[in-house]
Amino acid sequence: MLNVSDIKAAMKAAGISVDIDAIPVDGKFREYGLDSLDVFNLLIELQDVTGREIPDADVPNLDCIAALLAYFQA
Amino acid sequence: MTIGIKAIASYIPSTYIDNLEQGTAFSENESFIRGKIGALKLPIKNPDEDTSDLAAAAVQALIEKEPSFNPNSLDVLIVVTQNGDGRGLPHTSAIVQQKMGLPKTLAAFDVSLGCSGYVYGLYVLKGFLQATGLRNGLLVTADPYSKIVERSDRVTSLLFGDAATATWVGHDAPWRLGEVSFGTDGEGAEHLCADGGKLNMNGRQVFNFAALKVAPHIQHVLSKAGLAAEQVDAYCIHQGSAAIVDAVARRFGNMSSRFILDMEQTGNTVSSSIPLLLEAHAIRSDWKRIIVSGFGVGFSWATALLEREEKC
Repeated sequence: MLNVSDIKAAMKAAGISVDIDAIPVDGKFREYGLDSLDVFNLLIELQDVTGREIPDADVPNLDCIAALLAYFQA
Repeated sequence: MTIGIKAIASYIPSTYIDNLEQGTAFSENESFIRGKIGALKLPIKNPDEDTSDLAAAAVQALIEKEPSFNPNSLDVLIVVTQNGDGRGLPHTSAIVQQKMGLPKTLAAFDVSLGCSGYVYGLYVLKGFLQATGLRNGLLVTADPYSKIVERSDRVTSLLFGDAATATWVGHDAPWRLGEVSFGTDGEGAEHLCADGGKLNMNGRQVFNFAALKVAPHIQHVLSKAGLAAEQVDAYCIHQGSAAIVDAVARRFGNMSSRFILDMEQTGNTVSSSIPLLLEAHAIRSDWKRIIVSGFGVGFSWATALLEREEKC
Protein backbone atom coordinates (compact mmCIF):
# COMPACT_ATOMS: atom_id res chain seq x y z
CA MET A 1 0.00 0.00 0.00
CA LEU A 2 1.51 3.31 -1.09
CA ASN A 3 1.47 6.39 1.13
CA VAL A 4 2.36 10.04 0.49
CA SER A 5 5.96 9.50 1.57
CA ASP A 6 6.35 6.64 -0.92
CA ILE A 7 5.11 8.84 -3.75
CA LYS A 8 7.39 11.73 -2.79
CA ALA A 9 10.32 9.31 -2.55
CA ALA A 10 9.46 8.10 -6.05
CA MET A 11 9.41 11.71 -7.25
CA LYS A 12 12.92 12.21 -5.91
CA ALA A 13 14.10 8.95 -7.47
CA ALA A 14 12.56 10.12 -10.75
CA GLY A 15 14.83 13.18 -10.71
CA ILE A 16 11.95 15.64 -10.47
CA SER A 17 13.55 18.97 -9.72
CA VAL A 18 10.61 21.03 -8.37
CA ASP A 19 10.08 21.56 -4.63
CA ILE A 20 8.38 18.25 -3.92
CA ASP A 21 7.50 19.05 -0.31
CA ALA A 22 5.51 22.08 -1.49
CA ILE A 23 3.08 19.94 -3.49
CA PRO A 24 -0.16 19.36 -1.54
CA VAL A 25 -1.84 15.98 -1.82
CA ASP A 26 -4.55 17.36 -4.07
CA GLY A 27 -2.31 19.83 -5.95
CA LYS A 28 -2.28 19.26 -9.70
CA PHE A 29 1.19 18.26 -10.82
CA ARG A 30 1.19 20.67 -13.77
CA GLU A 31 0.37 23.61 -11.48
CA TYR A 32 3.43 22.75 -9.39
CA GLY A 33 5.81 22.66 -12.34
CA LEU A 34 5.79 19.00 -13.33
CA ASP A 35 5.63 18.39 -17.07
CA SER A 36 4.55 15.30 -18.98
CA LEU A 37 8.04 13.78 -18.90
CA ASP A 38 8.28 14.27 -15.13
CA VAL A 39 5.04 12.32 -14.82
CA PHE A 40 6.36 9.58 -17.16
CA ASN A 41 9.44 9.27 -14.94
CA LEU A 42 7.34 9.20 -11.79
CA LEU A 43 5.08 6.47 -13.17
CA ILE A 44 8.11 4.35 -14.10
CA GLU A 45 9.31 4.58 -10.49
CA LEU A 46 5.86 3.72 -9.13
CA GLN A 47 5.53 0.78 -11.52
CA ASP A 48 8.89 -0.41 -10.24
CA VAL A 49 7.85 -0.07 -6.59
CA THR A 50 4.41 -1.64 -6.96
CA GLY A 51 5.00 -4.09 -9.82
CA ARG A 52 1.79 -2.79 -11.35
CA GLU A 53 1.75 -1.72 -14.99
CA ILE A 54 -0.11 1.52 -15.71
CA PRO A 55 -1.95 1.53 -19.06
CA ASP A 56 -1.69 4.68 -21.20
CA ALA A 57 -5.43 5.26 -20.86
CA ASP A 58 -5.11 5.71 -17.08
CA VAL A 59 -2.31 8.28 -17.23
CA PRO A 60 -4.36 11.46 -17.83
CA ASN A 61 -6.25 10.86 -14.58
CA LEU A 62 -3.09 10.45 -12.48
CA ASP A 63 -2.53 14.18 -12.13
CA CYS A 64 -1.96 14.59 -8.37
CA ILE A 65 -0.74 12.64 -5.35
CA ALA A 66 -4.29 11.93 -4.19
CA ALA A 67 -5.16 10.40 -7.56
CA LEU A 68 -2.09 8.16 -7.37
CA LEU A 69 -2.95 7.05 -3.84
CA ALA A 70 -6.49 6.17 -4.90
CA TYR A 71 -5.25 4.40 -8.03
CA PHE A 72 -2.80 2.16 -6.23
CA GLN A 73 -5.18 1.45 -3.35
CA ALA A 74 -7.89 0.28 -5.73
CA MET B 1 44.11 -6.93 -38.20
CA THR B 2 41.96 -4.53 -36.23
CA ILE B 3 38.79 -3.42 -37.93
CA GLY B 4 37.30 -0.28 -36.51
CA ILE B 5 36.53 3.39 -36.90
CA LYS B 6 39.12 5.44 -38.75
CA ALA B 7 37.36 8.79 -39.18
CA ILE B 8 33.94 10.45 -39.01
CA ALA B 9 32.51 13.49 -40.78
CA SER B 10 29.04 14.95 -40.98
CA TYR B 11 26.68 17.23 -42.82
CA ILE B 12 24.10 19.31 -41.01
CA PRO B 13 21.73 21.43 -43.12
CA SER B 14 22.04 25.16 -42.45
CA THR B 15 18.28 25.73 -42.56
CA TYR B 16 16.67 25.12 -39.20
CA ILE B 17 13.55 25.47 -37.10
CA ASP B 18 13.86 27.61 -33.97
CA ASN B 19 12.62 25.15 -31.36
CA LEU B 20 11.94 27.79 -28.72
CA GLU B 21 9.58 29.53 -31.12
CA GLN B 22 8.04 26.22 -32.07
CA GLY B 23 7.67 25.33 -28.38
CA THR B 24 5.80 28.57 -27.77
CA ALA B 25 3.40 27.66 -30.55
CA PHE B 26 2.74 24.37 -28.73
CA SER B 27 2.39 26.16 -25.35
CA GLU B 28 5.63 24.66 -24.05
CA ASN B 29 7.95 26.90 -22.01
CA GLU B 30 11.68 27.42 -22.50
CA SER B 31 12.53 25.27 -19.49
CA PHE B 32 10.78 22.28 -21.07
CA ILE B 33 12.42 22.79 -24.46
CA ARG B 34 15.91 23.23 -22.97
CA GLY B 35 15.69 20.74 -20.12
CA LYS B 36 13.51 17.95 -21.42
CA ILE B 37 13.61 18.11 -25.21
CA GLY B 38 17.21 19.37 -25.27
CA ALA B 39 17.12 20.95 -28.73
CA LEU B 40 17.10 24.67 -29.43
CA LYS B 41 17.54 24.21 -33.18
CA LEU B 42 16.22 21.52 -35.50
CA PRO B 43 18.14 21.44 -38.82
CA ILE B 44 15.84 20.82 -41.75
CA LYS B 45 16.91 19.85 -45.24
CA ASN B 46 15.90 22.03 -48.15
CA PRO B 47 12.86 20.80 -50.07
CA ASP B 48 15.00 20.12 -53.14
CA GLU B 49 17.48 17.99 -51.17
CA ASP B 50 16.84 14.28 -50.93
CA THR B 51 18.31 11.69 -48.58
CA SER B 52 21.09 10.82 -51.02
CA ASP B 53 22.08 14.50 -51.17
CA LEU B 54 22.55 14.59 -47.39
CA ALA B 55 24.48 11.33 -47.56
CA ALA B 56 26.67 12.58 -50.41
CA ALA B 57 27.37 15.82 -48.51
CA ALA B 58 28.55 13.79 -45.51
CA VAL B 59 30.83 11.71 -47.76
CA GLN B 60 32.19 14.93 -49.30
CA ALA B 61 32.83 16.28 -45.79
CA LEU B 62 34.85 13.16 -45.00
CA ILE B 63 36.89 13.55 -48.20
CA GLU B 64 37.70 17.15 -47.27
CA LYS B 65 38.40 16.43 -43.60
CA GLU B 66 40.47 13.27 -43.89
CA PRO B 67 43.30 13.45 -46.45
CA SER B 68 44.13 9.75 -46.03
CA PHE B 69 40.61 8.74 -47.03
CA ASN B 70 40.58 7.89 -50.72
CA PRO B 71 37.05 7.41 -52.07
CA ASN B 72 38.44 5.60 -55.11
CA SER B 73 39.65 2.80 -52.86
CA LEU B 74 36.28 2.21 -51.23
CA ASP B 75 35.06 -1.39 -51.30
CA VAL B 76 31.76 -1.20 -49.40
CA LEU B 77 29.11 1.48 -48.82
CA ILE B 78 26.26 1.03 -46.36
CA VAL B 79 23.56 3.68 -45.97
CA VAL B 80 21.44 3.44 -42.83
CA THR B 81 18.04 4.95 -43.57
CA GLN B 82 14.32 4.32 -43.40
CA ASN B 83 13.56 7.43 -45.42
CA GLY B 84 15.54 6.84 -48.55
CA ASP B 85 15.16 8.63 -51.86
CA GLY B 86 11.72 8.32 -53.39
CA ARG B 87 10.03 5.27 -51.94
CA GLY B 88 13.27 3.46 -51.18
CA LEU B 89 13.56 1.72 -54.53
CA PRO B 90 16.28 1.80 -55.74
CA HIS B 91 18.39 1.71 -52.61
CA THR B 92 19.83 5.07 -51.63
CA SER B 93 23.39 3.72 -51.44
CA ALA B 94 23.31 3.10 -55.21
CA ILE B 95 22.30 6.72 -55.78
CA VAL B 96 25.09 7.91 -53.49
CA GLN B 97 27.58 5.76 -55.45
CA GLN B 98 26.55 7.54 -58.63
CA LYS B 99 26.39 11.05 -57.16
CA MET B 100 29.84 10.76 -55.58
CA GLY B 101 31.43 8.94 -58.52
CA LEU B 102 32.44 6.07 -56.27
CA PRO B 103 33.98 2.96 -57.88
CA LYS B 104 31.59 0.65 -59.76
CA THR B 105 33.31 -2.26 -58.03
CA LEU B 106 31.64 -1.02 -54.82
CA ALA B 107 29.36 -3.28 -52.77
CA ALA B 108 26.53 -0.94 -51.81
CA PHE B 109 23.40 -1.62 -49.81
CA ASP B 110 21.01 0.04 -47.38
CA VAL B 111 20.25 -1.04 -43.83
CA SER B 112 16.68 -0.35 -42.68
CA LEU B 113 16.96 0.64 -39.05
CA GLY B 114 16.25 3.81 -37.09
CA CYS B 115 18.02 5.00 -33.97
CA SER B 116 19.82 1.68 -33.36
CA GLY B 117 21.11 1.71 -36.94
CA TYR B 118 24.58 3.16 -36.40
CA VAL B 119 25.67 0.47 -33.94
CA TYR B 120 24.13 -2.27 -36.08
CA GLY B 121 25.73 -0.76 -39.17
CA LEU B 122 29.22 -0.76 -37.65
CA TYR B 123 29.04 -4.49 -37.01
CA VAL B 124 27.35 -5.33 -40.31
CA LEU B 125 30.21 -3.53 -42.01
CA LYS B 126 32.86 -5.17 -39.82
CA GLY B 127 31.40 -8.60 -40.58
CA PHE B 128 31.23 -7.84 -44.31
CA LEU B 129 34.89 -6.79 -44.38
CA GLN B 130 35.93 -9.87 -42.41
CA ALA B 131 33.90 -12.23 -44.59
CA THR B 132 35.10 -10.83 -47.90
CA GLY B 133 38.64 -9.77 -47.15
CA LEU B 134 37.81 -6.28 -48.40
CA ARG B 135 39.50 -3.39 -46.64
CA ASN B 136 37.68 -0.07 -46.93
CA GLY B 137 34.12 0.45 -45.81
CA LEU B 138 31.96 3.52 -45.43
CA LEU B 139 28.97 3.66 -43.10
CA VAL B 140 26.62 6.53 -43.90
CA THR B 141 23.64 7.55 -41.78
CA ALA B 142 20.99 9.73 -43.40
CA ASP B 143 17.43 9.54 -42.17
CA PRO B 144 15.71 12.90 -42.60
CA TYR B 145 12.59 12.70 -40.47
CA SER B 146 11.46 16.06 -41.85
CA LYS B 147 10.05 13.93 -44.67
CA ILE B 148 7.58 12.27 -42.32
CA VAL B 149 7.07 14.64 -39.38
CA GLU B 150 3.79 16.51 -39.51
CA ARG B 151 4.62 19.97 -38.23
CA SER B 152 1.30 20.24 -36.41
CA ASP B 153 2.10 17.12 -34.34
CA ARG B 154 3.42 18.32 -30.97
CA VAL B 155 4.76 14.89 -29.99
CA THR B 156 7.22 14.56 -32.88
CA SER B 157 7.62 18.08 -34.21
CA LEU B 158 9.77 19.30 -31.30
CA LEU B 159 12.20 16.39 -31.41
CA PHE B 160 13.69 15.54 -34.77
CA GLY B 161 16.38 17.25 -36.84
CA ASP B 162 17.98 16.29 -40.14
CA ALA B 163 21.64 15.33 -40.44
CA ALA B 164 23.91 12.84 -42.15
CA THR B 165 27.23 11.30 -41.16
CA ALA B 166 29.95 9.26 -42.84
CA THR B 167 32.15 6.86 -40.87
CA TRP B 168 35.21 5.33 -42.47
CA VAL B 169 35.61 1.76 -41.24
CA GLY B 170 38.63 -0.35 -42.05
CA HIS B 171 41.79 -2.08 -40.93
CA ASP B 172 44.44 -0.59 -38.63
CA ALA B 173 41.86 1.73 -37.13
CA PRO B 174 42.41 3.73 -33.95
CA TRP B 175 39.02 2.73 -32.52
CA ARG B 176 38.40 -1.02 -32.32
CA LEU B 177 34.86 -2.43 -32.33
CA GLY B 178 34.63 -4.45 -29.11
CA GLU B 179 31.94 -6.35 -27.23
CA VAL B 180 28.44 -5.80 -28.58
CA SER B 181 24.88 -6.88 -27.89
CA PHE B 182 21.63 -6.45 -29.79
CA GLY B 183 17.91 -6.63 -29.07
CA THR B 184 14.54 -6.48 -30.77
CA ASP B 185 10.97 -6.35 -29.44
CA GLY B 186 8.41 -6.09 -32.20
CA GLU B 187 5.64 -5.54 -29.65
CA GLY B 188 6.87 -1.96 -29.64
CA ALA B 189 6.48 -1.55 -33.40
CA GLU B 190 3.16 0.27 -33.16
CA HIS B 191 4.57 2.89 -30.79
CA LEU B 192 6.89 4.48 -33.36
CA CYS B 193 5.88 4.03 -36.97
CA ALA B 194 5.04 5.83 -40.18
CA ASP B 195 1.33 5.57 -40.91
CA GLY B 196 0.45 6.75 -44.39
CA GLY B 197 3.81 8.44 -44.68
CA LYS B 198 3.42 10.40 -41.43
CA LEU B 199 5.37 9.67 -38.27
CA ASN B 200 3.28 8.50 -35.35
CA MET B 201 4.79 8.18 -31.88
CA ASN B 202 3.45 7.10 -28.50
CA GLY B 203 5.76 9.30 -26.44
CA ARG B 204 5.20 7.54 -23.14
CA GLN B 205 5.82 4.04 -24.47
CA VAL B 206 8.95 5.12 -26.32
CA PHE B 207 10.19 6.91 -23.21
CA ASN B 208 9.45 3.88 -21.00
CA PHE B 209 11.24 1.58 -23.41
CA ALA B 210 14.36 3.73 -23.42
CA ALA B 211 14.33 4.45 -19.70
CA LEU B 212 13.92 0.81 -18.72
CA LYS B 213 15.74 -1.14 -21.42
CA VAL B 214 18.92 0.78 -22.17
CA ALA B 215 20.66 0.94 -18.79
CA PRO B 216 20.47 -2.84 -18.15
CA HIS B 217 21.64 -3.44 -21.72
CA ILE B 218 24.68 -1.24 -21.19
CA GLN B 219 25.37 -3.12 -17.94
CA HIS B 220 25.12 -6.38 -19.90
CA VAL B 221 27.78 -5.25 -22.39
CA LEU B 222 30.01 -4.02 -19.55
CA SER B 223 29.65 -7.40 -17.91
CA LYS B 224 30.53 -9.21 -21.15
CA ALA B 225 33.63 -7.05 -21.42
CA GLY B 226 34.57 -7.59 -17.77
CA LEU B 227 34.41 -3.87 -17.06
CA ALA B 228 32.92 -1.75 -14.30
CA ALA B 229 31.00 1.38 -15.27
CA GLU B 230 33.82 3.63 -14.03
CA GLN B 231 36.31 1.97 -16.41
CA VAL B 232 34.51 3.56 -19.35
CA ASP B 233 35.50 7.12 -20.15
CA ALA B 234 32.29 8.20 -21.85
CA TYR B 235 28.84 6.99 -22.72
CA CYS B 236 27.66 8.17 -26.13
CA ILE B 237 24.07 7.05 -26.28
CA HIS B 238 21.41 7.97 -28.81
CA GLN B 239 20.22 11.51 -28.23
CA GLY B 240 16.49 10.73 -28.22
CA SER B 241 15.80 13.73 -26.02
CA ALA B 242 17.49 15.32 -23.03
CA ALA B 243 14.95 13.58 -20.79
CA ILE B 244 15.80 10.17 -22.24
CA VAL B 245 19.55 10.66 -21.86
CA ASP B 246 18.96 11.85 -18.30
CA ALA B 247 16.67 8.90 -17.47
CA VAL B 248 19.32 6.42 -18.63
CA ALA B 249 22.23 8.29 -17.05
CA ARG B 250 20.46 8.57 -13.70
CA ARG B 251 20.61 4.79 -13.39
CA PHE B 252 24.40 4.98 -13.31
CA GLY B 253 24.63 7.04 -10.11
CA ASN B 254 27.91 8.94 -9.88
CA MET B 255 28.87 7.85 -13.40
CA SER B 256 25.94 9.81 -14.84
CA SER B 257 28.19 12.78 -15.66
CA ARG B 258 30.00 10.61 -18.21
CA PHE B 259 26.87 10.43 -20.35
CA ILE B 260 27.34 12.95 -23.14
CA LEU B 261 24.40 15.22 -23.92
CA ASP B 262 24.91 17.32 -27.02
CA MET B 263 21.81 17.87 -29.10
CA GLU B 264 21.03 21.57 -28.63
CA GLN B 265 21.95 22.42 -32.22
CA THR B 266 20.65 19.26 -33.89
CA GLY B 267 17.75 17.63 -32.03
CA ASN B 268 17.22 13.90 -32.40
CA THR B 269 18.91 12.99 -35.68
CA VAL B 270 17.97 9.28 -35.51
CA SER B 271 20.89 7.06 -36.61
CA SER B 272 23.16 10.09 -36.98
CA SER B 273 23.09 11.08 -33.31
CA ILE B 274 25.82 8.69 -32.10
CA PRO B 275 28.35 9.41 -34.89
CA LEU B 276 27.75 13.14 -34.37
CA LEU B 277 28.71 12.67 -30.71
CA LEU B 278 31.74 10.59 -31.60
CA GLU B 279 32.90 13.14 -34.17
CA ALA B 280 32.53 16.07 -31.78
CA HIS B 281 33.73 14.51 -28.53
CA ALA B 282 35.51 11.19 -28.97
CA ILE B 283 37.66 10.80 -32.05
CA ARG B 284 40.29 13.31 -31.00
CA SER B 285 39.91 12.80 -27.25
CA ASP B 286 42.27 10.90 -24.97
CA TRP B 287 39.49 8.53 -23.99
CA LYS B 288 40.32 4.85 -24.11
CA ARG B 289 36.89 3.25 -23.84
CA ILE B 290 33.48 4.45 -25.00
CA ILE B 291 30.08 2.82 -24.79
CA VAL B 292 27.75 3.54 -27.69
CA SER B 293 24.08 2.60 -27.46
CA GLY B 294 21.35 3.13 -30.02
CA PHE B 295 17.67 2.42 -29.43
CA GLY B 296 14.35 3.23 -31.00
CA VAL B 297 12.09 2.19 -33.88
CA GLY B 298 11.13 -1.49 -33.72
CA PHE B 299 11.74 -1.51 -30.85
CA SER B 300 15.37 -2.18 -31.66
CA TRP B 301 18.48 -1.59 -29.60
CA ALA B 302 22.22 -2.18 -29.80
CA THR B 303 25.08 -1.40 -27.43
CA ALA B 304 28.80 -1.71 -28.11
CA LEU B 305 32.15 -1.01 -26.54
CA LEU B 306 34.64 1.00 -28.59
CA GLU B 307 38.25 0.71 -27.47
CA ARG B 308 41.20 2.79 -28.52
CA GLU B 309 43.83 0.63 -30.14
CA GLU B 310 47.12 1.03 -28.31
CA LYS B 311 50.12 1.52 -30.60
CA CYS B 312 53.07 -0.74 -29.79
